Amino acid sequence: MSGSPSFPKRLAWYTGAVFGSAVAATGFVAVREGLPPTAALISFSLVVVFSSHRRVFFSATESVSPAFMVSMAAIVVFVHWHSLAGCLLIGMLSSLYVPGLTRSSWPWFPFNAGITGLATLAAGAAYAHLPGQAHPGVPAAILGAIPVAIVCMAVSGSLLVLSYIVETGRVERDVLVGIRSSFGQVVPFALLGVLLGRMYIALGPAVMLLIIVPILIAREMFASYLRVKESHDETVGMLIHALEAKDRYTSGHSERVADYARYIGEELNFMPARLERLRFAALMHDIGKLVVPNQLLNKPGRLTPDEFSQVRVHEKVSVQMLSHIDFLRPIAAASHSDATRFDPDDLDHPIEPYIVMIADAYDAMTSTRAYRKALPQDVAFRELRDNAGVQFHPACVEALIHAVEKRGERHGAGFETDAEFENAPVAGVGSAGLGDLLDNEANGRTTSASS
Amino acid sequence: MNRGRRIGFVCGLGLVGGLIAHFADPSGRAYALTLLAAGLVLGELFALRLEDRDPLPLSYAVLVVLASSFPLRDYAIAVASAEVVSLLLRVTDRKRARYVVLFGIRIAVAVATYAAYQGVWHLVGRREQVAPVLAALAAAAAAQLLVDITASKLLRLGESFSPRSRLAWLAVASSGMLMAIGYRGVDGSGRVGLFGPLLFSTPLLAAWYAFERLDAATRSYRQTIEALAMAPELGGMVPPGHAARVATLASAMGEQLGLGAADVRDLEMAALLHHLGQVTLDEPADGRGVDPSEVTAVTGAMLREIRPLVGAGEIVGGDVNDPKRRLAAQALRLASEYDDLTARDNVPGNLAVESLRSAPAYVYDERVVVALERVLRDRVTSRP
Repeated sequence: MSGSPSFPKRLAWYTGAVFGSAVAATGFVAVREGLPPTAALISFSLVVVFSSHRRVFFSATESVSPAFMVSMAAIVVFVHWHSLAGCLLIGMLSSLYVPGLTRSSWPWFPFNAGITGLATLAAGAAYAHLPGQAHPGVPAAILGAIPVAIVCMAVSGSLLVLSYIVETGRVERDVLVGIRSSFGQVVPFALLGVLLGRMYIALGPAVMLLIIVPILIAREMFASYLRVKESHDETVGMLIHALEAKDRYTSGHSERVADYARYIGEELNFMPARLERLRFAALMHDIGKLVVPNQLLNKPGRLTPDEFSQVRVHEKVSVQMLSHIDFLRPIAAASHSDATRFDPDDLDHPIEPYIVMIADAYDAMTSTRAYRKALPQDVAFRELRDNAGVQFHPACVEALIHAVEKRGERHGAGFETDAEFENAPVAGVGSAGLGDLLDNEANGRTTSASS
Repeated sequence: MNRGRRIGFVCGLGLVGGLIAHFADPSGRAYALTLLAAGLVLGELFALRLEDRDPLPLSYAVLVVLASSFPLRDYAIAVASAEVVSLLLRVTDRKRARYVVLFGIRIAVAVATYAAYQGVWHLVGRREQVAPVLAALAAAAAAQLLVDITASKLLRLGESFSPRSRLAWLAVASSGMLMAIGYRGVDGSGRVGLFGPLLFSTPLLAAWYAFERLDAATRSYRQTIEALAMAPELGGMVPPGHAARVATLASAMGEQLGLGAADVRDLEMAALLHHLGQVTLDEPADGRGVDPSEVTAVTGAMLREIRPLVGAGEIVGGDVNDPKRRLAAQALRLASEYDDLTARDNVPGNLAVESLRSAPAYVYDERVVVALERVLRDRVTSRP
């Protein structure tokens, strides 16, 4: 657990019990086996505390650090010297994270230290009792890391689950999923840790430095990557801000289209990288509107055919601009409205433009615009289904409807959070976007066009 | 052949070769040599991408393992065969001449690695202790750095040695040393054989993955900025290619003026986006066109709202007399005016510079005009 959130009072006695047990266990094994070798204890303490402070945060609560690998190496080293107290102390220190020690959240340290200490002690005991670990060959030693890691994760996972039960009386599914997925993540670190421990015994602490360096560099690069990604997000945010400054009728449209596109992508089991690409494509699908004169975008009345063709230029410009970005290029060319109409025979057509088109059309139908009120959600769903296989990709239509219903979300008439245009007229399904500002004969569309 | 297939092909080739070697030489030495040679080829396929030079291959780490554990003849066979296979895998791509040059650099690095390791190893009296072994391994890694950087500079494949390059070298060097010490051990202790290179390549692969993500994100970010820079051009508000030309010119002027790397980067971003605000403005009904000062103010305000572009926003729309940004702001203005004169008004370059020079002294700082002249002169002299 991260040290940032406030510590719940209900966990006070549980923390006392867990931390007290870890301290008592340290005393017990120290009296029974003797104190751990000082030099090894100091070097491992320094490395494990340093490692736990070089973690990479993927989100507010998720992070990874090489501290687990160092703890596994400590298990091998201290078991070799018959000192489980060393394992326990290093395990406890691996949860020390100074920036998390604020006034309200410092009790997370004894909480986490107790859990990781006891888990490392159990793992150390398991390693000491593994058959053939006195002088194992390399493959046996590496394989031995797996049950040891499992014991460690099982003990810490059980104590964590117990803490949730103590605090709330139940365990959320997310917690169990998180614990289960962390098993897969720790195994490579466990293998490396065991090998590192063996080399430490043979060659001394220099090897620790050699392995920590590339891990820290990976960490630095990953942190740089997250910073660049954040910059990218902020820049795209600025673009959307600029678009909305030009076209006040479509406030929040790009973000909503990105959300609906993500819903569809998740329903279709897209991998995270593909979802990310889809999100950017959806956010930037109207980027070409930047070149359309404001007067045309904000014209309250019907557009003339000449004006409409000027506005349509934005699709071509969007394709040109998106094609400049490598990771969007494969789907950019297919983003033009002439190419997003569903064609069951075109097997090479990427699915992402179809997804963005459906998300765009759904948002256009369920949002109030200056020229007409939002349509009810069931009407929008019916419209999408009626045109599935003709205008829209059928699987994507069903994916969106399923995702929206699964989330219990309601959009459209009566459920808008930001209905700015109260005096907008009520209109039919053919009034969903720029296309219907013209007669159907002029724009060639019969149903909801995208905005 | 894409990279995935190449990796599969090399793994298959290595395993088949390893099996044959295992039966041909039951001592296991040929088997290990074959697998490490395959590792060398794989290391060529995984390279740390850097912003200012050719990617740094992970094979350099495997070279240290080979140099520290095999006699010259075995080393030469493994390196030569691995590099030939790598070359053959590469020549299916374009830029064949470049790959032949790379082949030469790899061979030079391999020679230096072996020579440096053996030289220092002899110097420390071939003592099988941790410190002398580490010293010899460190010398091998340092020799790789020296030869690669020198060759890259001589062949103009990359000039600078950026912070990211330094970290990449450090990752490859420390992993190579660890993999080598794991493979060979010291005086029989700590030897884990092929498990050493295999498992200790994991942190290096993690670093490779992080470098890949960083490179892809940096490229996407840059391309997004360039795409945004295209908007005023596609809207017919400025001549096509204006932003890119001004960015190239202004950043070269920034370097001439001795601005720091971060300031030059801000200047380049400012140059790319200096007309962006125009797309949000209403065209005046009287056909006079948008007021340039309004474009500057709006663009500056837009950019200042984005943390990574605050510096660029200050250059575009900040106080022109701010001593911190004065030179950069003037460089952008001068580069933009020069491009307007040459690309939009078709004024010859020398006349354009003369016209800009003849502006009152308070308009452009003398140093900025001199920087523009130097950049333009360098361009002419470096033309083939």
